[in-house]
Parts: sequence; C-alpha cells; structure tokens
Amino acid sequence: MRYDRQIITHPALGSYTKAVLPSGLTVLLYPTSGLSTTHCILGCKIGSLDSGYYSGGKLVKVPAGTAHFLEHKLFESEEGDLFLQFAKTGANANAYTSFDRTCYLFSTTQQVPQSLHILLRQIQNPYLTDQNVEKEKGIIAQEIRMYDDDPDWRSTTEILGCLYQHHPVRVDIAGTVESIQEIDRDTLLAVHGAYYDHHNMVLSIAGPIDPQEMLAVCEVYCAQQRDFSLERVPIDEPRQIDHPRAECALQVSAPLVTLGFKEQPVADRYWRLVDNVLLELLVGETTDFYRQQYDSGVIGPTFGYDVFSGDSYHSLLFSCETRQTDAFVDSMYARIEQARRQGLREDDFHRVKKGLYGRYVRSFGRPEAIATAMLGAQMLGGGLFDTYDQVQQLTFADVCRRLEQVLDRRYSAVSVVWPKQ
Amino acid sequence: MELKTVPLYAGIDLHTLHDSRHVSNRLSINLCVPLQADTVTPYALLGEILGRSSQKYPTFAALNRRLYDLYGSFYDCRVSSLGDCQVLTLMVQGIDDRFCLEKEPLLTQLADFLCDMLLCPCADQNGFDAQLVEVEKKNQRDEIAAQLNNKRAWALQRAREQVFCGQPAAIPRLGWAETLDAITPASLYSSYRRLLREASIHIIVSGSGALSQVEEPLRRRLSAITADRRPLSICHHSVPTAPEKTEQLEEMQMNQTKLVFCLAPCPPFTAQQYGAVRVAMALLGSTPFSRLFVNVREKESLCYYCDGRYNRLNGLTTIDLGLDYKDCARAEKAVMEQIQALQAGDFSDSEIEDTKKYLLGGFASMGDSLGELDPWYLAQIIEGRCQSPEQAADQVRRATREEMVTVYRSLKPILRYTLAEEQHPEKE
Repeated sequence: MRYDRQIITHPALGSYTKAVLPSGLTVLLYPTSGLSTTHCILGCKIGSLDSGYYSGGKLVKVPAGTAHFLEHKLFESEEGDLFLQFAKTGANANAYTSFDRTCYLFSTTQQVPQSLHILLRQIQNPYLTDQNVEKEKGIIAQEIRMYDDDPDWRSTTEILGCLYQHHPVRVDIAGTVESIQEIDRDTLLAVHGAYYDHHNMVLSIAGPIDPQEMLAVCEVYCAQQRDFSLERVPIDEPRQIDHPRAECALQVSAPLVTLGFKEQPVADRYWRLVDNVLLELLVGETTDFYRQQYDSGVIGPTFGYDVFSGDSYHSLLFSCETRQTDAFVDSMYARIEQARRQGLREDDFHRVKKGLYGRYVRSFGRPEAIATAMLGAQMLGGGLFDTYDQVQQLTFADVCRRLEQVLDRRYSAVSVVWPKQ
Repeated sequence: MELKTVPLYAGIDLHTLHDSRHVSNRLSINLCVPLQADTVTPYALLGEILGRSSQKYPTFAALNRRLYDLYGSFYDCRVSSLGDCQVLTLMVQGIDDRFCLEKEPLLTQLADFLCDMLLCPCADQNGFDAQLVEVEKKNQRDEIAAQLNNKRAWALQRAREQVFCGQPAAIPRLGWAETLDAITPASLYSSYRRLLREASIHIIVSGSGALSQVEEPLRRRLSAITADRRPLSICHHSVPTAPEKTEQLEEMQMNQTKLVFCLAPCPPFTAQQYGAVRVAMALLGSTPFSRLFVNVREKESLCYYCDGRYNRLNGLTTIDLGLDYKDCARAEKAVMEQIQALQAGDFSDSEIEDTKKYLLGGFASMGDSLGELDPWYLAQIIEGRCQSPEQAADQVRRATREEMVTVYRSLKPILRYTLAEEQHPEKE
C-alpha cells in the first residue's frame, strides 16, 4: 500500500516513524530498545469544547458531556465490554476525555498487533442501543457526583466559569446530571459520524515494536480513502471575564482559593513553555517570594500554578489551600507588580532551563510518556522533538517580555471553595 | 534485573538494581521502624522537615535551585505505613550521567545530595530551627485535617480504624494533630536522633548508571550514624477483626455516599497462597473486567467505581464504591452475590486465564519503571521476603482454581461501613 511516511530523528533521543494512511489516519511509531511495555493511544479531536457542528449547512447542537458519554460507550461491543476483549490479549486498557480530545489507550507486554486490531476495529464500530445508552447514564451520573465532592475539581470549574463568558471550557467535561439526560442513541451516532473520521484522529505507539508490523495492522482498517469535512461551531469569546468572584462550600478542612488570569490564546506552543518558566520564576519554589509566603503561612505545600491552555483558551492559574484567602490573592497581585518593577532573576532562568532539559530527557524512559507526548504534539500540529528545540531556544528576554503582556489584573478572577459549616 | 544487596553497617543495607535500558537513576533511603502511637506523629513531621531544607540548602529556594542544577532532578521526602511499619523515605531521581551536557557525575552528586538531606538537617545541639518546626507543624496539622477532602480515601481510612481498633494498623499515617502541639524543636531533634538509631535503613539504588559508584560515598557518609545504632525489628501483628458493631454509618455533607465492605481471611493467607490470592482478588474486583466491575457497575449501573483490594501486609480485603444512598441495599446484594458465586467456584477457566494474563502483563512491565520497582522491593524487604516481580509472576502462573476457591471461602465479612450524604431525602 502506498502512502506518505517519514522517519523523524533526534541525535540523542532516537527516532520515530510518521505515516499518513489512505484513510487519513496519522500514525506515529516510536520503537524503544529494551523496554518491555508498549503503550498505544488512539486520539480523536473531540472533547467537551465541541458543543456543536454544522451538517448540511445546519447547526447541530451537542449536549454538554456528549464526547465523554461517547467515550464510555465506545468501550462496549456486541460481544460485551471491550475490557474483556483486551483481557484476552493481556492488555490493560483505558480511555479518557479532555477539553479538546478523546483518547483510547492500552498498555501491554504481549500480543500488540492483536490489541491494536481490537482498538481500531471497535472505535469505528460503535455498539449503541437505547438500553445500553440509558444504562450508562447511571454510571456517568455517579462519576459526576464523585467529582462534585472533589474540591480541586470544583475550584477549577468555578474559576473557569468566572473567566469565560461563553466558551465551553466553563462547562464540566462530563456535563451535568441534567445535560446527560438529553443524550440518546441518535445523538451519539450523529456525533460519532461527524467526528470519528480517521482524518480527525491520531494513533501513537511507543514500545518494543516493529513499525512495519504495526503499519500492516493499520492498513487493514485504513485502506479506504475518504472525504472528510467537519465544520465546528466557532467559539466567540470576548476578552473580558464573566464575573470576578465565585464561591461555593464543600465539606473540606480549609478554604481552597484559586486566582486565575484570562489570557489571549497562543498559537505557538513555545509561548506555553515560556509561560511555564515565567510562573516558576515569578512564584515557584526557587523564589524568595515562595519562601516568604510559606514561612508566614499564607501558602503551604498545596500551593501550585498551572498554564491552562488549548487552541482557543489560555489561562494562568494559581491555587492554594489557605485560611488567609485575601492575603493569598493580594500577595499574588503584589508579587506580579513587584516583578514588573524589579525584574526576574536571570541566574534562576538558566537553572530552570537546565532542569527542563533534564525532565524532558527523563520522560523518554517511559513508553507511556513518549506515546502521550507524541500524540499531543501531533494534535497541536507539531512533532515529538519540538519541545527539545523549544527548550534550547528559550531566552530570558522572551520570558521578561511575556511578563509585560500577561497577568493583567483586569482580566483576573478569584474562586473560593469554603468549608461547610 | 537482579536485586543485589550489600550490608554497609549493622541494619543498613544497600540494594542495587541495574538495568541499562533506563534513562535515569533513582536513589531512595528508607528508614523503617515499627508503627507506634508515640512516634508516628514526630516521625511524620520529620518527613516535612527533611523534605524542605538542610544545612547546605537552608531554604526551600536554595534546595530547589540545587535540584534544577541537578538537571531538574526530582526529590521527595515522605512518610508511609506498610503493614505495622512506618517508613520515612528520602528519594531523588535524575537523568543518567550519559545525558549530562557537561559530563558531570550526576549519580554520585545525587547520592551526596540525599545524604545531605538526611544527615545534615537545619539543626544545632538545641534542636531543629524553631521557625521551620512551627511552619511545618502547621502544615502537618492542615494535612491531617485535609484528609477528609478525599471522601473515598476518608471512608476507607475510617473503616480501617474500626477493624484494626487498638492495633498498629489503625494508627493514621500522619499521626494526630493533638500530638503535634507538644512537639518542640528540641523534642523533634531527639526523635530524629532516635529514628537514626532505631530504624532499619534500606537504601535502594536503581537505574542504568554505574551503581557501584555510590557504595563508597554512601558508606563514608553513613559512618557518621553507626556509633550507637540499635535497629528495632519489624513484625506485622495487626489482624483485621470484626468490631462490636459490624454495620456502621457516619454522615457528611457531600454529594455521593461511600460504601465500604471489609473482609478478613480466616485463617490468614500464607505466603505460598499469594499467587492464588493475587488472581482471586483481581478477578473479584481489581481489574476493569472483574466481577464487581462487570456486574455491580456495568450491569446494575449503580456506581462509577467498585473496587476490591487485598492488602498483603495487614491482611485486610476492602470493597468500596460510591453511589446514591438509596442504592446501598441493592449494591450490597449485588456485591455479596458475586462473592458467593466465586466461593461456590462459579467462574470460568477463561476468566482465570484472562486475569492471569492481566496480572502477568503488569509484572512484565514493572521492570520498565523505576518508580514501580523501588516500592515493590521495599515492600518485599519489609515483609521479610525478596521476591522479584518475575518470581511473583511464576506464582501467579501456578495458581489453580481450587486454590482460588479456598481463598474466596476464607473471606469473612467483618464490617459494612457507610459514609452517607447528610440530609438525603431517602434517610429523612
């Protein structure tokens, strides 16, 4: 079978094959020497952000939680649960849905081609009945309720609700107990038909594999050329935040506060890396600020920050369990202003850069990390070794420039999860 | 990959696991002592103290700068309970020397770093730095209180407290907030000296580097604590026992009820049974195709998770699920039906084979991860065995249906614990 394939090589970190099969499926194959485990992920570009699409010029709205619901159902076949089929090949399978993708994966030390057959066959052939769709609602409702009790999850949901006015990122990935009631067999079949096309999917495998053997399996399912077009509902999100503060109460021991800054989306992954470094230099564990706040009890070991980013959204989040919620927020604003006036430490920048290199190399010790990184990079339009190049290209000037562009108080909000009385 | 053990001093062993396939090296120093009510809290506090500073790196900023200089190596200091043993682990993991840009000897630098953190804390003859102790006491108090944030883990912990009442296994991992109040910088330093005296110390070095390179530096650094050492022996005495009230209900303001079933083997399982125990428990509830997953979650649609686990070190089997309160009785019926079916031998040969394949895959992949191998061998060492994952896999392969039925039949329910939503309409 003829199709595009290329080998992408890095002098220190190995090489992988990238092939685009006639059906449109992009396949990434990273053979590791010595390791026993093969990790395989099939990712589809559908997540909770996909709130609708156009079909024949008509808008089809998708209830919140549909991508996640479909993920649950695609692990069911007429012969029974897919987990049982994977059990026959000794594979450990799983699946997850995020804001922008749904991934089906397995890890195994044996019979990789057989497991790959199961995965590729099943994902294209959903087994949906009214009965099994209804049954799944009970399971998913319990999953939603479980997360409703999770303070970290609640805090993230609340802050995104503050920062975004219309963007579907403000809605829980699994939807709500109410929204999943709107989902039926026809909804799932239509969404599957619209999104689960090979052009919209990436297969990523790392482990002790023979790329030729893997491609031979893929060819069975990917021979047919197809036309594909998917017009997603555009996301029109204004620069302004929705509201500056949200509060809720859970049975927790201490308040959990999150300060979020809504930023302009960034197209180039390099700037996400820059923002990570910026936050480390600003409030990370190498800073005097961290020590001062820690010693004074404003922050504790639960303090963390996150660059929360996708194609259509970009936020910088700081969170901590603390009884000094106002002092936490004030100290973060003050630190940002101080850094703008006094600058960041360049010696720490070089340290962090060296550390990023080490952590990146360390990730090549695990097939799971390699396969996940390869898939993630491809879905964002890049390659596995881009991060290496980006770390090399990182400059202190870029980090300082970025500090002038982001973390504007006018686009910030606070969420607090209070302990229930 | 074979574990090689070299005794460095009395009660201090160096274990090495060399495998050239890895890109990193990992070193852990594990101080193992009997889990005791009077020492659990200060020893847990030492985990916070030794995790954040040393004389060489007196602030957290200095410590983290050093870790970045060590190519972003990961350092952690934490306390855990394994059976009736409390373990304080200092661990560092970094890339192998062959990836260092300046050809630095990173492995020996990591060994030196770890020794600095353990042997040279921020303390003088009067005790630990007073401010450091106060800050970490507050953090530990918060962490103890925060255990209820994770409702599932909280329910399991509450159930364990009931079935191990009065025994070491009931002692919480972080100790008690009330005990923290009495701890002073001086008393904590005494606890630190006592820990160094009384702990069995197991150093596990794993990865692709020339691991023998660290033996001499470790021997040299650790010679400083050998003078008055009296390592305590570790025995596992705790036995899960039915409490007076075998059905217990507690309430909390939350969205989902947690139901926990505790079962105990009678008679206790022997080491020879472990292969069959692993297969039996996996088939019961530890895989995504287990009886509990397929029947309680998938068929009954009652819950998102329904897991069955066996803890080899304390002998307790737990089954736990999150559900609506109104469904508790249905869930109990469904769970018990599965246990009874398994006790009656109502399971197929293909279920046994599938479960074995799943477990064998897990053992085979363990060698790929230093993060899994290190704790595996530590648990083996604490248990007084030294079974490799390959040997455990052999035991699993040999397990028979009859042995599995024996395992199931020996399981006796001893507690049904419910952590229920407050003000649920069904209960009013």
